[in-house]
Amino acid sequence: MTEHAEAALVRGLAARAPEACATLYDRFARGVHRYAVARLRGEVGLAEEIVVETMAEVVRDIRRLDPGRSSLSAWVYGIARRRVLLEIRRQQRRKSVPPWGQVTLESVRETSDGPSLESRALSRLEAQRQVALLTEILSEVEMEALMLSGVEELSAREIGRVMGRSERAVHSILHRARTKARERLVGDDE
Amino acid sequence: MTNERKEIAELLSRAAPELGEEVKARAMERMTRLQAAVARPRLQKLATALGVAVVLLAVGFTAYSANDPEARMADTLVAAAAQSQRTAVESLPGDENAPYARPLLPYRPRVIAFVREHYPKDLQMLLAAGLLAGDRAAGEALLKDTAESTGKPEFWAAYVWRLRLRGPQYMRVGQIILDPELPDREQVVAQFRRDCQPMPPDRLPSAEVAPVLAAISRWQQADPKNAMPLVLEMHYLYGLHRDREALARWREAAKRPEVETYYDVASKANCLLLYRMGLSDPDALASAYTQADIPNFRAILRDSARIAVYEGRVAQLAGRSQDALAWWNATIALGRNTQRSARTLQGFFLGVSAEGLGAAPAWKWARDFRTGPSGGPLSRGRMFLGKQHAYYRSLVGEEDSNKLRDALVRSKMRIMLLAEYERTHSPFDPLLRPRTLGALAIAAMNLLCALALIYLGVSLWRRAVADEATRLSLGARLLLAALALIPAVGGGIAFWRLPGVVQQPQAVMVYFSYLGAGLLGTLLLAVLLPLLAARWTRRPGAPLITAWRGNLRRVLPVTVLLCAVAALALAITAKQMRRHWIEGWTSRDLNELAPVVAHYGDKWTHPILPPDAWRAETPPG
Repeated sequence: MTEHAEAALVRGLAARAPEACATLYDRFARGVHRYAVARLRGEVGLAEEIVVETMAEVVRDIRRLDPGRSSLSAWVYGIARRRVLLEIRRQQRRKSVPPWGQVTLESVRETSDGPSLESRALSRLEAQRQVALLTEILSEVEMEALMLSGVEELSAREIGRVMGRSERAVHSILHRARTKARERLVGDDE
Repeated sequence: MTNERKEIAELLSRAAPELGEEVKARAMERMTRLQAAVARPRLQKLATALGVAVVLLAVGFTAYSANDPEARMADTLVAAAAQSQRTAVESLPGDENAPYARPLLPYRPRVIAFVREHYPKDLQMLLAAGLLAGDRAAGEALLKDTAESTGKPEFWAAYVWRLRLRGPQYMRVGQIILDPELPDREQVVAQFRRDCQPMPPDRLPSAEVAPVLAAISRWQQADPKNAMPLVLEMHYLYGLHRDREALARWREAAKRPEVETYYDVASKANCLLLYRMGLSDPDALASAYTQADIPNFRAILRDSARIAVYEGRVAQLAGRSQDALAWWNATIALGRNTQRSARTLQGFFLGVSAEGLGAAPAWKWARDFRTGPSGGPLSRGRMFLGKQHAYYRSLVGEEDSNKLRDALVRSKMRIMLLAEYERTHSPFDPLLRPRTLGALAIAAMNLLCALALIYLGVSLWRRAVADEATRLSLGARLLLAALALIPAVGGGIAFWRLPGVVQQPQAVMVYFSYLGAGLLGTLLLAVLLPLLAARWTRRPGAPLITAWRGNLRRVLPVTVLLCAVAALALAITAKQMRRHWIEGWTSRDLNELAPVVAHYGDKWTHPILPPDAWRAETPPG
């Protein structure tokens, strides 16, 4: 999204234009969802809730966005990140994953209506497994930076804004994370 | 690096399933709802700004209105007037050292100096200073000088009153009841002299009366339509045994259309001057209405009417029929004129009394208990034939005699209307309205502040969260606000309408009346009605408490705004009424009878005579 388009979206949201909500959703929902799924270790249902809540919060608080300090993308992911962290803390307080969060491969097969869906589900599970592997080898901060970099292609500066780090620190974190990820993913493929 | 980033993106993309339409629909619904909840269209902003302005204006104006000197003065004077009406029946004007007049003693020596310093050209203050002055000679001089320089009749009246206080002492006829059965003049005269208190001197000393008569003469010149100076002159001439001249003055007085004693003008002036000198206690101020320094010519008119009836009887017994008729008819006419020109209830009753005295030889009103508790149409009373009815009828004819009877019945009916009016209205209702309205304005302000505080508390939660949880149309908001205000309005109406409530001696007692109960009810309803409504208006999934907050946020501003408008309107109206009241009170326009006459209209001016209002027989007992 160009700067011009982003500014127009912010203006539309501030003016409570109904079409701006659709634009916002189309622009950010998928990215936020991916980010949330990755951070919540495949909790798809929770990730969807976070998408809805994040979109709602953006609409509600759009007037708090200071374009001089932060881009819209960084601000949206900042909101998403805060909600994800809240959810993670909530999950940590639980003794086990709630039933609605437990999705087995069998259940996917049972509810699937064809091989195409099954193959997609398998591919997704494989991807989630790899993400889980990454989570194991990367620190919290490295994983966070990698997700934000991969999902939204946020710049180091924007990631720093979201995570509360300096641009140089983000560069360093990203370098370490990518090195570790490369090694792990290559090793895993072998 | 770019490849690795793409790989990560691709990995994340594969790990997350596509978002379904159901998620998008949910998100869109939330966003749309929030936009509506958070939206502040210009009109709404304008309405909010207007609401805030009205609230601030109401707060400021009510505080200002309650504290301005005019309001405090009106309240004090109203309370004093009401208090004086209570004490007036107990205390008669006379001795300035009487207990009720004592609060004025410290002020008397200073009044003239005070007025000369602060109000040297204010006629009202000069009149009061002349009447209240402790130094009688200085007071008389002030009144006479002002009367001569301005020609104002009230100054001549006040001057005559001060001269009269100086002497000579004159008889008080009091409650003399002539026995109509007494057969000859000597016995009638003996009874009259016996009943007079104190016993009249055989003849008033001419030298001492001369200055009073001279002053009365000047008063007549300054007040050509007023019968009162002629009544006074008749009174003194009668004391000088110049009976023919006295009768001439009495007949002349009966032709004057007005009977003005200046009692209310003087009492208001005295009261205002004492208030300005710092006497602000209503009870003490009330004594300014009842003490000796007010021209009390009413008593002289009543005494003179009794003298006239007595003289008529004497003339009848002496065979001077035309003189008898002249004394009686002049008294009747004077009584009617007094009624007609009266601005106060006391003046009206004085007129009825004089008319009744004059007509007593021909027609007599008496209580009639023979036919049971509701035995008479005029409050258990009827007109009966007077002892000299036949004599009177022989002189004036039956038609005129019956006209007189009907006029007397009408006067009685007006008294009954007055009594009925006082039962349904507080006797001081017109006087107390500014005070009542002021109390209502303050009460509305208190309600406004209480509701605003609750609203402030509710606003500490995030607006969008609460607003999103409920749906409440503008009509529903107005309906809830109106329902919540019903108890306060009901309490206010009861407070306004029911007599006696506002006369509570302590202001705080106002809140323990119907008004306080109404305010409490409104506070409870303003909080509980939105909770009740939340059961139906909350959105699916929203907690009841959050929906309640949302409803409170929407209903309370409307309620506060309505309270502000009410407080503002009441304060403005109270201020206008106070100003009007002060103007009427200090000028001569205040008319106690006007609301009664306006209330009854034709029923007052032309009352329909009850068919059995009189009996063609002598009174029972």
